[in-house]
Amino acid sequence: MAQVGVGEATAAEDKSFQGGELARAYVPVQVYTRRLSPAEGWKAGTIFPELIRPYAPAPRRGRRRR
Amino acid sequence: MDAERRQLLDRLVALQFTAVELQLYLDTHPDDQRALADFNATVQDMAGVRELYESRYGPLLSYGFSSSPRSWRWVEEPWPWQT
Amino acid sequence: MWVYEKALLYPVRVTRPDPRLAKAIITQYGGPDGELAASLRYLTQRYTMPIPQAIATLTDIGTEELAHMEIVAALVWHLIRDASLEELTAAGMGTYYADHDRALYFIDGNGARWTAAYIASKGDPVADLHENMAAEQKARATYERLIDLSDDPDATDVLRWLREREVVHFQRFGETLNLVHEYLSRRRVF
Repeated sequence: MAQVGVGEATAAEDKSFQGGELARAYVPVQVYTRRLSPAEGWKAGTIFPELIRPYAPAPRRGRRRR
Repeated sequence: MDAERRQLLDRLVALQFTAVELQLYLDTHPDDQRALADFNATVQDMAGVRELYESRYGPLLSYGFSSSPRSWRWVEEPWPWQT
Repeated sequence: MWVYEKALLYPVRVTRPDPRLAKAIITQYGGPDGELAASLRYLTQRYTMPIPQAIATLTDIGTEELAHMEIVAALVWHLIRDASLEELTAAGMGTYYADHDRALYFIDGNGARWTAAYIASKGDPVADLHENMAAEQKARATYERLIDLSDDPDATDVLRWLREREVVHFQRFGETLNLVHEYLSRRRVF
């Protein structure tokens, strides 16, 4: 079990993600690279291209394939 | 809503959406100077488009943020879901 | 406090009635993973967040969810307003029509009314942020199911947009969770 001692750098402060602290979740922090134009971003649902996650809908006809 | 009005409103809301996105980003990255500059530039752009829209079509914001010279245009249709 | 802007955050341009689809989409208005639930969840949790970045994130995303709620309302309103009584009944919305005419009401796809049981406000910031990340994933998944069901390209466009917002919100809550953990670690080290 991870313990935080007095004066020790905590795993949360370690940015390299190696040896992250147990029993907690981490989400990588977004780094701002570029943004889409207002019109493009608005249509896409985000101005940040790295956050675009397309979805391919399930086929409406035919049996479900597993 | 006629096409010209629709186009101007789309231009405004697209800018506002950019501002919303940068705002959410800045809330978790408050020290990002580049994002801050982009946000403030967007605010400026928005102000110009909003002024133009409101001068033609009436107030967009309630509670004292938009004025309504000559007549109370706030009550006018279309409301946002009616277009 | 809140200020209202007389514009949709994303346009709804549906041209033909589809009460069958409206009956499914209404869950994102008054259902467990819908926009009202999202908004109230974040707006009520923000009072007990320990760091100002978290208060700001919850306030701003909570506010955006109200704008989404309006978009979903516009979508449902458009899909049922010009439907005939025959179409409404065939879509299984006859009983809804009896109670509400063509008005919007806070229910899920099966008619269950909205309840505060849909939201958690634990007061523990780590728990609350995990609740929010789960909520965004559930909303994302629900929009995917609605996209599966939709054969109206105008409705699908709106559903796709709303779905992408959930992806972005998840990222922001994840970043907020990191910041809260860092704050809690700093407090332990003295």
